[in-house]
Amino acid sequence: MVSDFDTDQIIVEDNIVTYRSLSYFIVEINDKFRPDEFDKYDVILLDIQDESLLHFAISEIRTHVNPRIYLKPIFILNTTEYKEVIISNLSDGVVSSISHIPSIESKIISILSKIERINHPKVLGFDSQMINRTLNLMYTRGKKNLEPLPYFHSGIGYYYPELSINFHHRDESAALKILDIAENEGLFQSEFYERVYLCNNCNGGYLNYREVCPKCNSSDSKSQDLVHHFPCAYVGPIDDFRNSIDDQLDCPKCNKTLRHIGVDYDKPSVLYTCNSCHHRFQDYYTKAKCTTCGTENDVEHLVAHSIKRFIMTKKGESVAINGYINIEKQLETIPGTVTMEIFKVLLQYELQRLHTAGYHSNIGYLHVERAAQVSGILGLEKQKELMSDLVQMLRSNINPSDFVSFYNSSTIIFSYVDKNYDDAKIVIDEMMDLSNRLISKTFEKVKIDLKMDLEPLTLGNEVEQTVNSMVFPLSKL
Amino acid sequence: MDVIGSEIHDFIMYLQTVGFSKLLRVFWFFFFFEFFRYVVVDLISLIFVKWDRYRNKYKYEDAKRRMWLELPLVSIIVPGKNEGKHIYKLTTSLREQTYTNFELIIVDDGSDDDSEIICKSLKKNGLIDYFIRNEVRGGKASGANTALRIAKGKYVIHLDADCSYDFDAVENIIIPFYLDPQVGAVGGNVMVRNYKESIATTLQGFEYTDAISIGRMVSSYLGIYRVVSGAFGAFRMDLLQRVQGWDIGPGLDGDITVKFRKLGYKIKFEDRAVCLTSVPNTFQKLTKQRLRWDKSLIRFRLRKHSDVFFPQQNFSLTNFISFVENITYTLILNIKWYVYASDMLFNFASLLPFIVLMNIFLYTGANMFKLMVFNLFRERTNSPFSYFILYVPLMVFYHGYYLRVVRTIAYIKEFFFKESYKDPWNPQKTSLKALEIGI
Repeated sequence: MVSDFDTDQIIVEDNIVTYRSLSYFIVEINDKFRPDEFDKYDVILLDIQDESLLHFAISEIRTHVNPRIYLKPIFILNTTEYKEVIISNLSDGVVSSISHIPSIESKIISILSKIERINHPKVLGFDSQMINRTLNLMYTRGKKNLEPLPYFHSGIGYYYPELSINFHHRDESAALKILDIAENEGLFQSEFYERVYLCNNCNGGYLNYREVCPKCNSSDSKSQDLVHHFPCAYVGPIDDFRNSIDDQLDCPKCNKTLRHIGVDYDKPSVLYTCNSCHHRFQDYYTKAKCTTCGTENDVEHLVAHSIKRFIMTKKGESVAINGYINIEKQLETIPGTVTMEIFKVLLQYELQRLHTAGYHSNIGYLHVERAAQVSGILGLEKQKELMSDLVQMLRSNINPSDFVSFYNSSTIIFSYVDKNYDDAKIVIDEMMDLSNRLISKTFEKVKIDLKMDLEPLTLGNEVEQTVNSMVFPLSKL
Repeated sequence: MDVIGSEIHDFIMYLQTVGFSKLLRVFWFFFFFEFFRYVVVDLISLIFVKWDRYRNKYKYEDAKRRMWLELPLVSIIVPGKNEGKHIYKLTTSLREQTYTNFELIIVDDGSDDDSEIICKSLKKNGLIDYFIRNEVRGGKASGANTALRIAKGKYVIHLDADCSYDFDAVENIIIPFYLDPQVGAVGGNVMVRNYKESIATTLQGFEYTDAISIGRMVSSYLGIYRVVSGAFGAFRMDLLQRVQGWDIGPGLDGDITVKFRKLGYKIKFEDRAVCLTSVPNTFQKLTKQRLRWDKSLIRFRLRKHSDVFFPQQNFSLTNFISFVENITYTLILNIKWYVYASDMLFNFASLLPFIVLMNIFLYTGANMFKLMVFNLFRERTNSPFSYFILYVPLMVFYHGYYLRVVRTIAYIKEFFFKESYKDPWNPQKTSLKALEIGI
């Protein structure tokens, strides 16, 4: 098969392979893994044998914030196919050696041409971002179906690779909510596949179903048959009937020997004794202990979710190309902020002012880490409340002339003008401390980590470049 | 009408002419046994009961205070088959109790209705502390003994599921244990809830008010109280464990009372601890119940616990008197009544209509006296005594003829045929084994 192609055109230089017009970047195990740099290449070739490292590399690329990176074609340099859910579903294939690159060229061209067709409107809302990323990945790979795959490492037991990859396994239930939104928007049709029951505290699917003592929830108990001796009506555990001389069972009440079950005695019930609290009971309580958060769930209080197969609709296909914008409008209404477009214009003015007057100006960001988890736990309204609180805190600490905007639903970007970097950094650090206190007071039940930093505005950089250089290192959503 | 009028006229003439000695000769059974025991002795005893209660009222208050200070755990056990429909009402009545430090243990003895579902639901809602389901029916005793395995209380109260209780019933039935450390068991005061339902229930209502309630107050005072009712009885846990629980019935409540007495402990009746029960509403059902109750006299008093009559290591005079009184008034006098009836039939055949009328007159008079006078000694009634006044004459037939005949049949069946071992009240497998080894 390979001989059909002209392998002479394959040029290998360091880790970069060029074949015809496409460049392939070979990522090896000893490389410092920098997905931000992958934008320069058309295709990523992962020359990694270790499955966990491969898993890590694919996850890092597919969760990158930059669509040009997370949609990048990924091939694995290996001779065997991988069955691991993430590796097999989120890579584009396996190529046995560099000389076989021509055999995947057409597939790559197809993916790249579809990537080119996709518009990436500015999306702030986390849910919208997730829907776009999922649809984009599916569309560029020509996939119509989003299948739930049974997956051991999934927080809910089933994995939608294109979507679930964006979530920590503890927060994967949020993916189900997003898929419901997408379905309600008509982007997907669904078929019932399975039902899962999740922890009512953290939505985790790692549940240990146990029979426990109704009083203390301990699963450490012993069972004993209760023996009923017919003639004297004595009832007691079988140990009461044992003697120290022989194997016979003697009634402790009337001293008769038990001979025949059903004739002179029977075992009408079983009694359990809890080894922890010594409570005696006949019926266990079945409880589901969440191994993620430790909550003891009554089985009837578990949260039931339907796991569905999703099929992309025509509308979904169209949205995959044109982008899905919905709830981000809500964030734009938060007072004290400007849209990203205006932010960029104002930043352009600031750069020009810097050029003529030689002032010190800075650009900073405030980023909510693990946005997917936070969004999953808080929900949209609370998330908006959180971001609104952060904006107000920010506004009260920077100059009235500074401008603030949302880069995305978890990142606020702002200017800090007329202040040298060192002084500005001190203020920022104080703000960071203040923010953390504000958050821990307002959102007691959720652990929210903030990241805040700034850098001086430098002449010669384009606006887009300035913003991206600051935000892309945040990389994961 | 003329015939009846003439008979009554003759009867009045007879009363005017007959002398006191002749009256004693003809109605010796009434005057020497029934009137003496159930009117004179009862009245004197009741006066002493009242006096004793008045004298010891501070002692009683002190016992009550000590009980509240200790607040002992009480295990309430309710064994039964197909009783699910009653359990919710029972738990409601228990939830109202002034004394709340109790655990409620329900044992489902192989029910084939919805009892299991009902009880599990009540348990889930916290109305029952323990629910044990025996898949195979083992009988009341095994059910109670199963509950005993679970119980952790210092005192055990045995209840019937179809009963309900005064809000202070649990408190009142425990106090006697603090009044006298020698008290081993206390019987509650069972009253009839459905006394208005039919003639049968009204007559039983009167019987429970008079013969059972008053009778037990007296026998408790005299130290010869024999049966701690299964419907409402409290026991010391340590003694229950010593006697290793209940033996198989029918009549297991009387049996365990005797076992406690044999250990040398006192058995008390507490009329202030009130329980309401529904009694059989037809004479057919009542006959069945009384045949079962009466058979146990032969089975337990004459056979199983006959050692009480003979001098031996654990001989107790009060137990002996208790048994003798019981046997005398329920068995011997029952037989003697037939002797009396024959005496009248053969020696006073011509006076028979007068004798019957006079009997009705005497017994009705005695019952009326008891109804009104003994009412003064009751601290708690569930029905106005006036309700029963109209039914007093019927009590002569109820007590004097109906119950006597039923009792006689029961004694014959048990004495000659050991019928209690065939009673479906108990599973056959247990009764047959009990018969085999003579328990």
